[in-house]
Amino acid sequence: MRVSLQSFTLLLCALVLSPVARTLPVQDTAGEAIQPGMMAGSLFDAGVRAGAQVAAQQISPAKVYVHLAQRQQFTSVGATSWKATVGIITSAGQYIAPYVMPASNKVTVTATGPGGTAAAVVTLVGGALQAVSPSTVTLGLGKTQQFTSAGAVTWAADFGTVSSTGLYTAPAVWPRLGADRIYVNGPQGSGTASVTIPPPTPVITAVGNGGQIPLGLFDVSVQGTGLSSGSVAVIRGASVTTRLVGNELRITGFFNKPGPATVTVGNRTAIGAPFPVQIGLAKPKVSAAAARRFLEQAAFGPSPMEAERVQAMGFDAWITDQFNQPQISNYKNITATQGGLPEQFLTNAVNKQDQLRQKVAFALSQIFVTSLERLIWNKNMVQYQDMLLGDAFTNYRKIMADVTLSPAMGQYLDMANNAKADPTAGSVANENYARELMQLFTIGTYLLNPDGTLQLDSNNLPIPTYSQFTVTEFARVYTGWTYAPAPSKTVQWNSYISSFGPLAAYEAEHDEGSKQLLNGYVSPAGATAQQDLANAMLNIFNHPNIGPFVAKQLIKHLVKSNPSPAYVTRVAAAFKNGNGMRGDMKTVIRAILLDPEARANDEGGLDQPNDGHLQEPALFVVGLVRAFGGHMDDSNYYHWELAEQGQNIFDAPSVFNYYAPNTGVPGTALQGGEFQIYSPNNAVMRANLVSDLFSQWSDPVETFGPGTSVDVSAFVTLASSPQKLVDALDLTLTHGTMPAAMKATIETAVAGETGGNLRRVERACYLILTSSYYNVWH
Amino acid sequence: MLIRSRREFLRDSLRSVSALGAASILAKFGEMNALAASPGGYQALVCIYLAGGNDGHNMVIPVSTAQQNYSLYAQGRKALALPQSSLHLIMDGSDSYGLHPSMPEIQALYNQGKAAVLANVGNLVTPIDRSGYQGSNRSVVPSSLFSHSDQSSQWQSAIPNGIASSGWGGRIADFMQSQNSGAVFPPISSIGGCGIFCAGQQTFPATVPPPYQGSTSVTGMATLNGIKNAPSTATGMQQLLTFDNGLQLVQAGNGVLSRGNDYANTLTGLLQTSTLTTQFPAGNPLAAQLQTVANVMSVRNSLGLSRQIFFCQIGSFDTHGQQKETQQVLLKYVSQAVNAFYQATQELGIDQNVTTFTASEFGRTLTPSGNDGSDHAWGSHHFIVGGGVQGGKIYGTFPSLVPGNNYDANMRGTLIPTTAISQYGATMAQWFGVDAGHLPNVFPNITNFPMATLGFLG
Repeated sequence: MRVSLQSFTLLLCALVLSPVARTLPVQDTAGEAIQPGMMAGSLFDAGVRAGAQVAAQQISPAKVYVHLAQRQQFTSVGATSWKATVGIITSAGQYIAPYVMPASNKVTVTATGPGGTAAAVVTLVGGALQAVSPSTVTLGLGKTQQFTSAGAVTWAADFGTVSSTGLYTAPAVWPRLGADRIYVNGPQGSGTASVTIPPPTPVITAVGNGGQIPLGLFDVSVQGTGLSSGSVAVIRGASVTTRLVGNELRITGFFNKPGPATVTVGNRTAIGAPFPVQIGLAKPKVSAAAARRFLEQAAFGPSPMEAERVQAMGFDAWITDQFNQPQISNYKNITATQGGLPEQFLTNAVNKQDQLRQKVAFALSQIFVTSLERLIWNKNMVQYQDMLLGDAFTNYRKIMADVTLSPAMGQYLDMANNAKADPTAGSVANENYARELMQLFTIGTYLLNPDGTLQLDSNNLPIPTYSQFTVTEFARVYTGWTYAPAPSKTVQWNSYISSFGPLAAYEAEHDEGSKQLLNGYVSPAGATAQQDLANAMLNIFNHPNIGPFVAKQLIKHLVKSNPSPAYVTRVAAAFKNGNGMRGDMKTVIRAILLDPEARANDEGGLDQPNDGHLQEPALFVVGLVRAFGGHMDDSNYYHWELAEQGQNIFDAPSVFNYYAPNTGVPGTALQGGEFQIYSPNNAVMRANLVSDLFSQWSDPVETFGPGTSVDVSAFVTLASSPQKLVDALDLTLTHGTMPAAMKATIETAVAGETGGNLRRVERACYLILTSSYYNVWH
Repeated sequence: MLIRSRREFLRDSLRSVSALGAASILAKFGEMNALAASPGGYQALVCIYLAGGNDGHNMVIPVSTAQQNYSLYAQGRKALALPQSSLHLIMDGSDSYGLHPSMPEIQALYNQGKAAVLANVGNLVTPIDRSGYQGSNRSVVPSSLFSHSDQSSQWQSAIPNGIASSGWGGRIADFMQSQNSGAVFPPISSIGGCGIFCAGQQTFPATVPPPYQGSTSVTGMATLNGIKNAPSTATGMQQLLTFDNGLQLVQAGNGVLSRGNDYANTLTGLLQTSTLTTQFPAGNPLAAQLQTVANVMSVRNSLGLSRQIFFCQIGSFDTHGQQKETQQVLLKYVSQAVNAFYQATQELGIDQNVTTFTASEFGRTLTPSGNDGSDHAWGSHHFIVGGGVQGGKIYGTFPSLVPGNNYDANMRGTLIPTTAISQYGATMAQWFGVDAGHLPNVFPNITNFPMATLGFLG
């Protein structure tokens, strides 16, 4: 049993923080930062590995000429003290030559460290600088030039390379300013020469995927020759952000109007030929707004790239494509100790392309709830979530069967080691799984009409689906199952939880009497544990409630909290006999996502009062990172943020999930389960989560912890115009359908921000992301 | 070594760079009731919710009474029975009972007359026995018995049939608005995940989570940190919080965020002045919540509240398996936390004015299930603690522990309650100041019972 969330969180925080602390710079008494490498030397060599062979102390450079009053940096790994016979040397190894030539021009610099002492010889020089010839030269990229300098000891250059004999080779990539500098050290101290490198004219051979640039935020590669870190790119008369990655130029920016355009790249005065590209799709199957809104339902929110795929394929083909994709997301690199399962869930949701599978599996994990709170061996949660991902596009009956015999559920709701009644001990079969499988996973407590509304009796009271007696009968069905033994071992009753596969039958503990199940069906006496279970699963699966019950649950997770009875009817019908088969998940999912009620407001402007559902914390975090095409990896910090806001992933407080789907929303007659964990305090924490992420002082790459970043540079360039900025964020976050009044409010707020364009972007993001208009996906 | 969580670190560092508090920028956008008033003394109710269905059979055990004794208990409980020698004895007249081994503090409070037991209370539509339960008229039986969510909702709403949109805590607060005129904070505070109990018709609860473990803050309440030093953003946010595009869920979300900001700004500053010194047991999740309650109580005058309701919660009581081990830990938390809280109310000089009581969706079967646990049942026993409690007594009717008796819903010792939640709640509501004529407005089915109130608060 877990004692409290707080203590658990704290423990893990400590675990997370400790390795970080070791790599942070540590202040020494003089206030100088000691770098990690230096710490490693002194700690390990002097302490931990005491007695081991220690390499002799080295110093670099060992021989150097230094002008009077000039500085020279020495390095010596792990050095703890420095000395110079003349002049000054700092504790960090920087030597400062005297102003006046001493009696001897030779100085000895000594470093002391774990390997003993090491000495370097400085020759002090006065008068003229060390001469280099030629002192200036103009060279093309990659060309060579021989330099000479009398008695030269060392050669170096900023961009190109210089051999020990002074042969200089200009860089292959044009340096940003078109200038390089040669450094030499010799008997007269140091000297320099300069190289001018005329800018090459860029020649573009390819942009992105066949000249295609996604609508909205984009980050595509430009390939060709003559590209440099100083290259500037212009599209539609506006410059876009560039960065050189290897030989490619990555360009990022934002356009919210589709159509043909050109990319022009230049290095200073050398401007290349325009390269034709297409922004957005020339003939999209669905609009940019519709594609984005669709992905709020069918995925963890739209990313610019995924939105373009939906536009290209259309809804139906995109769904088919998702059905045909193999399972990409998994938790296979989680070890038995289980650190990082929630973090990896978030990483998968942000990055992995099997979005529909993940979204449905996440919904299933909130219907067939198991929780780390009661899973003492967490390996089973990994298996369980992998199983739901694998089962997402199968049949509801298969999901019921797989869940029932999973070790995770076996432990969580006492399906495993549920013994038949023992008259001597006075014990009876455990009712836990029997009740919750019906109440929460399949048919619910009251009889439903095909449209999901309650059937009422003559007194206007709802009619129970089953009685307490039915629960005790199902409890007897589920007796006689225990954890699977290791391969080639025999089944042992009361065995400890294992991960050797589905639960195994143990007939001696199975109640063999007949059982009266739902709707008058009797599972006959003498049935084995396996036969009884199959009978019970089929009995529940064939109950008329299951269609509308499952339809409502899935609609609430994917589309909206308050579906109309007609919508539920259509999806329940798909469950009943879609594709000639009962319970086919693909048919049900397609029916939910393509229903006219789900698609009604794709272009905006047709909001209905009961539309939408509040984004739960996990959707909120994943959705905002995806919207910006942002980065998330397994080192993200959001597990803790979500836990604090009531959604500790796969660690729900009970089988009733993080929230109950039929929770009433305060001040309305509507349901909205997500509001159960949107308390006033959690709402403030969610707003703070936004400001924690969007709070860089000068870097447009917004980060929160090491594992999450969102690059807003494309918006910074737009922010001089509040209107352009808000238009761009509208397409990015609210599918381009933000009401004019809301836009005007944000534009005014942005215009009043005087801290620069980055600050304007951050404020605009904050206002949109904290608005209920955004938080309620609709 | 002081370990601070990353959140604490972030929070403090943000605090240090902001000279201007959000309170001054975002004025009030929450709604606050300020009705005409008459002043009165302070009174508070503190609900401790034992989530999952606490097993009352092992919390209060008959040792030697007119109708019951330990061996009847042991026969019914089988392997779940606690040894008689481990129990903490209490007396009710000449009858002796034993409290769970983890509850010596509650025993002491009981013996000082500061704690009482209410036996076999639960969700009821009307008084009913075994034959009524098994009869064909379903309208006299609470709906969806034995289901966590439904029974929890019924316990908290006191509406055992039909759909509830408010809870009895909220409705009591609605009726006491006149006592809280001029208040700058809601009368109900949810410290630990309140359900429908806290929702009134006009009253919204504040959420006041306990501080993160190891933190030096008085609560875990957050204040908006994103708009400090950004006046135009604050103005924009305020406008967006009133923005209406016709979607009800958007409006609801606006209301929640507005209230969250408002409540935190009000309370966080005031709590800096709390001088509470009573020590609460460390590592006890319920104690952390009750300490937060005591801290909020310490600034009650500044909040302008003379009537307050608090909701605390501790979970893991759904002991289908490993019941003995689990309950031993949980009831220790309860006993030690309640005791510390009672001492805190003494320190604040309001021990006579604060009544603390336990609640849980249902009790558990007397007979065990196949995994060292027990299953969902119905009626159970609860504690009421406070200086105003007529303690040292067992109220209600202590049930028979013979399976199949006239108040067993089946053959497993599934207690049919002999006292209703409505009576339990009405007793406290009346003490709190709801006049007798209004009790049916708070507890719609109270008139089905012969006595509206039970006398444990004098």
